[in-house]
Amino acid sequence: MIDFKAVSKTYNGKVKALDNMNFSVGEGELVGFIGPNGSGKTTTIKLLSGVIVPDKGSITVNGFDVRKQPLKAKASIGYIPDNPDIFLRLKGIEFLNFIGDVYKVPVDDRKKRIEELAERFELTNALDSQTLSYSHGMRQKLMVIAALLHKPKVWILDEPMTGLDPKSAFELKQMMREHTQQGNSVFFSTHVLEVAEKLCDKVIIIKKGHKLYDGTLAELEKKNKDKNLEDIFLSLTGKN
Amino acid sequence: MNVFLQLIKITMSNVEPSIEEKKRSKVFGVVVAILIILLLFVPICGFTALMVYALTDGISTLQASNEVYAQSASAITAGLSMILHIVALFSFIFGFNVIMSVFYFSSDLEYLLPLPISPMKIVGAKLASTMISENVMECLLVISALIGFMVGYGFDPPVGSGLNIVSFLAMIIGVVTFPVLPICYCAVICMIVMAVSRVFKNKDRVSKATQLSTVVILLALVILMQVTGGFNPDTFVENLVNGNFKVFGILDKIFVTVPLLSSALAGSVLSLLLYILVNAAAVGLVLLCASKLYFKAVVSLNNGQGKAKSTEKEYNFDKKVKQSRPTVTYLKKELKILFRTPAYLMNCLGINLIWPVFIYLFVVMQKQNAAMSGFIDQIRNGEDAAVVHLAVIVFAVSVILTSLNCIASSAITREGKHFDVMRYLPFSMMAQINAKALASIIISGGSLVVYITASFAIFGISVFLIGYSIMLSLLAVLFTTYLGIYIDTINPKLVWEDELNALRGNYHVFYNMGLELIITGALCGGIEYLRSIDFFPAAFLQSLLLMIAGLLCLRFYILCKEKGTKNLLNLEL
Repeated sequence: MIDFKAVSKTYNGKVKALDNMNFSVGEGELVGFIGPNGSGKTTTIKLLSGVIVPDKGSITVNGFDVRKQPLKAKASIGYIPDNPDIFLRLKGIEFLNFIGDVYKVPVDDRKKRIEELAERFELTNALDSQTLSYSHGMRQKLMVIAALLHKPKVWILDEPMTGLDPKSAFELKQMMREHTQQGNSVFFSTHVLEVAEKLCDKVIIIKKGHKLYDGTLAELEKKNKDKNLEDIFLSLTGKN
Repeated sequence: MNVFLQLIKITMSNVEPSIEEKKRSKVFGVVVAILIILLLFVPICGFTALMVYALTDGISTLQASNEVYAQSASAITAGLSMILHIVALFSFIFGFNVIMSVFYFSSDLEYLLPLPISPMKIVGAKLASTMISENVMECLLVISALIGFMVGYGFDPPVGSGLNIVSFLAMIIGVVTFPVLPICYCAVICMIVMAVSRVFKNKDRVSKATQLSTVVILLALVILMQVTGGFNPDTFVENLVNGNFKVFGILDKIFVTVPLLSSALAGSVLSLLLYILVNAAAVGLVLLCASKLYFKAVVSLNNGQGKAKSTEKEYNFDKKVKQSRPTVTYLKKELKILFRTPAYLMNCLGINLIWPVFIYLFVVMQKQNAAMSGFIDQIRNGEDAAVVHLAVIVFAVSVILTSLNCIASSAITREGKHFDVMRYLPFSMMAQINAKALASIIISGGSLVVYITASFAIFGISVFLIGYSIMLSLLAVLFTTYLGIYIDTINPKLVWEDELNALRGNYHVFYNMGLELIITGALCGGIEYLRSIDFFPAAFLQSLLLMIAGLLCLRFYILCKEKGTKNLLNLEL
């Protein structure tokens, strides 16, 4: 569902954020994307969501080339950016209607979906307030609902757990699982190794724009016996 | 580095562009800077210098011809004082917003307040950074006014006086310190209001209040000028020297540094010392207020976050969930943000309501002006020259007013840090640009249609001319809108501290305005030239103007489509 082939990205012709990166995410896979700060996680996610374009390589999401068919590719993605402070003067429900309209979600489906997700994230009672008055966590929940409104096959999430309360984080993790069980894909970045450990079918570890590991956690632990995930991560990324 | 200097650096960095923007804007920045200097600073500063020179020269002539005036030593600085008063007043009026924003609602407070730094140091640094960042234009105006005065005064000095070393010293000190008193007034008033009032703890409320008071003060000033003096070019210099403009008498008492600086420029050492003393006292008063009042107010502020109203009633999804076309929903989003953000409400929308009031006041002031009523009669009678003048005026005014509200020229900048949303939505860039353009067209065009229809109907102008003017005005709005958006796509200022900064610190607004004025000036000048040779009938010139306006719209629409969209897609984030 995601094919990231030989992708390189340099900022201002100087800072190489990604160097010949390759990976893929198949149907029904839940993939965690891990790396230290400045390793290229957000760059990768922005490339996948079409926010920035690569210098080299090709990116295919759900069968659509992100550069050649950008609108179709974007329409098939559910994307949660790292910053949920978007259109803060709109009310929660207005923001969801805006997203629903742009992603062309039929009104009946939209109603059902908003009702279900708002209930699940306990946001129903705040939908009539401007998002400026929301806490960071509430904004993050709204972003999650907005991203999932059009039932995208591929979820691309940048640090989705940040700011969520334990119940909402649990709900989101649950939803990610359910989504992949239906044959869809989830690709998300995280700093929390425990989340990756408990949730992911496979992990991709990157550092300074290079892929260090791409595979299941079981394989990784098998290769590094007597080490926990934290130790493995630190030794891979050069902290130990 | 000294803590105070570090603090100034930190508070100033809040409004500096990001590293990406700095890199992006190297070449562009130079081009913009040159254009701003040529289109904005040179004309304004030149006009200021020329005005002070003309007034000073006029007063000198008056003194030479009249013994009564010759005996008044302070009379010679009346012109300079007038301009300095205007600069001080504007600095005072617009200072409230800046002070409120920098002192109470800047994001650096979150980090500064927990540090063991005294309120005096924080306020002192914020005051200094405000002076440095907000007063470039003001200093240029003061320099221009002083040059105008020196030239007017020095070339033809009254008997027994002339420029001396004190004058030059006063000039240097004046340029650097002139904004101190008005800004200190704002700071003291803001600190007192924030300490005693419970109403102004919310940023939106403060923003609305300060901007509303700006309008009220400006309106009051226009009315006061009319009531206390009136404008008559023939007697203006005499009225000024005689002190007939009572408003300047009042301002002399409020901005005491103005008469002191004027007097110091005429060579008075005592005035110069008093000028320095008053400014030092003003800063001292600000720091005293800071030590007593600042923390008390600043710790009880809220930005509205985390205050979402929770309704316990059953949520009516059937009523609240609605479907619209993507362009319509995007337009609605743009309009809602414009209407609900106080800075945009006042600067982008309010201005469309304010200028008719100023124009009305101008018309009232000119009610006895025979030329004006004669012009309206000529239009009513369908005289060729008058109807062409009218077309040119309608086009120029529509362009100026559309660029003044800067809805188009800040369309991309307003997206700020969430500009990437434009990129990840499955909605084409041109469709988004069109929706943004539509917001500008509805607001600018809508208000212009209402004002043209109403005012022309009152003046008894024919339905045909009303229809023609509306069409021309809408084309002017379209052209200005797409040009404004195109310019903003080149290098939008996406990092700003608050929404007001997106408009005030956005040079595209000036750049756009300058470019539009050049195009409009060339077009209107060309039409007027063709009219002056008395060869072409008015109908031909009206049609020509309409056609060129249409072509301009098309040109800039295509530019937005072909290059503007690419600019937005290629912008390095």
